[in-house]
Amino acid sequence: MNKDQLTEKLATGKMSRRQFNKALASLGATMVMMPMGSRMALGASGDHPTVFTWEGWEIPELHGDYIAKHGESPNFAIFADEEEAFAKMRAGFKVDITQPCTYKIPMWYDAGIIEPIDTSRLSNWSDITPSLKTIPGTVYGGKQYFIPTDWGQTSVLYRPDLAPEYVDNESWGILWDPKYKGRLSMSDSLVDGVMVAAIYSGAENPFDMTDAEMAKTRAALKEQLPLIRFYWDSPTEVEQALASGELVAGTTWNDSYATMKSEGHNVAYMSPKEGAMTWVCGFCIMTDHDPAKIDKIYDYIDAYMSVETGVYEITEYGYGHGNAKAFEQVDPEVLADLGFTSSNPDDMLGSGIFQVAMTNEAALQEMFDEVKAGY
Amino acid sequence: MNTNRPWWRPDGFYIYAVLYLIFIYLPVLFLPVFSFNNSKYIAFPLKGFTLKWYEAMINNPPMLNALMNSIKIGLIVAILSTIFGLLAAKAVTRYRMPGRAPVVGFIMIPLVIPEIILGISLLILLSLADIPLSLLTVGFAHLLLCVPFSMLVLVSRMEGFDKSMEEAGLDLGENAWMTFWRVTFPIVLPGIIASLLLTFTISFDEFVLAFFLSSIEQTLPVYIWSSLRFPSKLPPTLALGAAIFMASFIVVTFAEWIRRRGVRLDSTSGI
Amino acid sequence: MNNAVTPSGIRLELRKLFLKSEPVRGYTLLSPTLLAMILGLAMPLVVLFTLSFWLQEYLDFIRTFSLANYVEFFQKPIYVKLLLKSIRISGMVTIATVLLAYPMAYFIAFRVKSNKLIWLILITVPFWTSYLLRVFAWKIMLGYNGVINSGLKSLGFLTEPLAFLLYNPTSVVITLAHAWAAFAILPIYVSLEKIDRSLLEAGRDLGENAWMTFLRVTLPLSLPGVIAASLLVFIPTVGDYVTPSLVGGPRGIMIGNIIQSMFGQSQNWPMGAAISVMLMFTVAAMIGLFLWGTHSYRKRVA
Repeated sequence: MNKDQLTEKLATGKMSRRQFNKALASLGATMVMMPMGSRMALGASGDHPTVFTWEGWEIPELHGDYIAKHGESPNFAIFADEEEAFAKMRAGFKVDITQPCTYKIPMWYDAGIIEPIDTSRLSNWSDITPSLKTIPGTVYGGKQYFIPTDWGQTSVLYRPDLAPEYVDNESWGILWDPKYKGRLSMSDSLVDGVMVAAIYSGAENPFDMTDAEMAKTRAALKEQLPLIRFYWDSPTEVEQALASGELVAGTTWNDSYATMKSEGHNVAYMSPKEGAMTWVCGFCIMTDHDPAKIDKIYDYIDAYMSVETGVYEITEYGYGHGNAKAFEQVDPEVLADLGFTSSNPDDMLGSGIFQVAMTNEAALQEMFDEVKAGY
Repeated sequence: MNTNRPWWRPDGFYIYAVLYLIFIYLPVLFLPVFSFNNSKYIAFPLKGFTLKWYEAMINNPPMLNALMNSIKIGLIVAILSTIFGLLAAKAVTRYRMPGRAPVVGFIMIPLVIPEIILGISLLILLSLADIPLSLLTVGFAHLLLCVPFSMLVLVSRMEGFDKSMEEAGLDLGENAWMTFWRVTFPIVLPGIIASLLLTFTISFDEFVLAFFLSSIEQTLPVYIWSSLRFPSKLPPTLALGAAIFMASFIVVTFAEWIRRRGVRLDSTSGI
Repeated sequence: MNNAVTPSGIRLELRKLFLKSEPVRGYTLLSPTLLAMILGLAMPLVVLFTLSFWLQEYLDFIRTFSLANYVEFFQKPIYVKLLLKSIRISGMVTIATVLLAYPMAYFIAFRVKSNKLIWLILITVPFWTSYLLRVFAWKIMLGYNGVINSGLKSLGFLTEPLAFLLYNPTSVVITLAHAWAAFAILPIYVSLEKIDRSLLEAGRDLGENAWMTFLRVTLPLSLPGVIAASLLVFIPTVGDYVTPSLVGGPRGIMIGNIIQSMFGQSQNWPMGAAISVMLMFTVAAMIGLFLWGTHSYRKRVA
């Protein structure tokens, strides 16, 4: 950056998003010499790429083909939520592959941290369920920035023995039923929490609300607050509480249903008349990836997209998988037990509301925090 | 027990001590109970006895690896931060120094600064300096966090410390190090032990700094936090927590038993 | 001949000067710690303060000096309200923890005769299990079908479980008072341990009762430990955001949660930094006030 440019930047007080890292650098530049030209190999060890993902998604069973080809697993760094992961990468942590969910992709794209993926290098791409390939916010300029591999639903898990009147009348409304005051729970998040309130309050498009709809959502959250036992941070908390009878109903992901059912608990998973939400997660290749490892990066993603991985993920985790053929390999009865209503993923995906990026996340978060603080 | 009548009369302290121990132990004692319970969920009623969670724990190398990392970092951080804390505490309690208050205030900053900010800024610093993330960077961050704890504990021990004893040592022609070892060290020993215990505990349980500053090697708290994504991972974690608890308890009891035997055999050496 | 002019003489003089100059010796002793802390803290502090005067626009920082974040801090009621709430809860935790810990520390210091180390470790061992597991343990204790409720129910005192035990400020205070117990006991013990036993006996010889001796001798002399314990419990709990979100219920939010969401979902690092600066200043001011108060108390007693 020459002096004139710098002056101009300072004068206008703005900079492009790509200069974010430079801005960070300038924070400490008075003390530390900026290293030039060297790739910051934070984290990467050996010849393998580093995958930044959720705990439990790094197990060898989910990338068998990669191990078969390269003899061992790649490196893994683990995050517990995407916000922390994003902050960590923005602060300088370099990885090769990440595994976020769709609603985060536009922001990551805007931040310039992900790059287009050459789907011709992925042998399993043609088997991916078509409706997953075109989720809004994952394709830019005809290029794929996201490979969908995992999906599931967000809906209400409830105790039919404690709330029998909802058995044939499944609705998000149970989370606003004063009868169950103090025995309801919702996710402490925007996408699985505040969006539920948006759907319940009748927003046309919950992910892109007008000011009037925002106000209605806020009112719904305020109305619900006294009824809520706690907002959950992890599936473990909400399942624990449903198991002990502390909760009558709570929002969960569909795997909670499968887990609790297999433990012999009397629970049911709703198909709310307002529509359940569908979440989709998958892979991004980071712009900071090590160019020398690009072949292995594609190998890893391709391995995760395989039918074998899909069958494992469906049967062991109760999640959907991007590979449509994986569903054909699973016994329909097993699928039904896991809460999948069809062996054709498109049937299920069509009935839900896809989780996409929320416009003005910051305002939504502020609203949610204010409601929790009593405003 | 000794036969001397205590200098104060009521024995209510014994009762209080027992009640207090119940308060700090009771919740923790449920960890072993539920670690043998045949259910993924921690809830009453108990479902039946099982050892499968311990089996799952042993067959979970990432978790055990994370445990080892945490122990390693915890021990090193405890020792280093206690040394740093000791030097600093000695300096500020023993010498009249201009600017003492702001310096002490500065060292205390890690207590006040939110960990997420410390974590993010240290990460920015490390990426600027081209230092790769590793357990060492986690250790360094924990050191920053633990020094104020150590120093506060040791200052409270050394405040009002009688200088004349050290001066006597120096007058006898001993060098400063000998004096420290012979005179100061025994006096501050309880503080040192307290500092080691506290700093180890902090490092062993810290996860915000550990998340931002670790790479592919995790610490135990980071592992546990991220594994809450899958409820079925809680029971093996519970088994691990129970195992740590029971192992420490057994080691401590055993050490005490050895010590008591030693005391009985050699009744002249009372500590 | 004055030996100061020979080289070895100069060295000797310098050495004497060094040994005599308290500030020099003090800072020499302090230097390793201070250097390590400067190395690790200078940068975070610069980042924190610089960021707090910038602004965020979507993903970009607007890098012109601005006080807007601080103005917003005082304009929107939520920040000050949550800051005060955090201080209140953390203050309650501190008082409860220190009051409960003092008799225990006293017991170890004066009552236990020979195996004190074992007692110190016994008090720390429960805290070597993960914090998260201990939180779940408290949920077992206080929860809907938890120990207390089941116990009372089986004894016939209850027909419906008590819901108010968990997910409110009280459960936050209980959980934190438990979590920080060792951090209060150890410093208090350490400062009690150094009290000269002859002072206590002198009190008794003067015909004082135990309580008078305690107020006149023991408490003032153990005050450094009480101060350290209070600071060690108060400061970290003010910014805690994990406990409130796990056991505090839907209204459990504290200032730490807001800072957390500013760096996460809200994507507003500058605002997060400004809130942190305000939190740090408030806590520093409270500590100053507290130290000033205890200092004048000690002067009065001494």
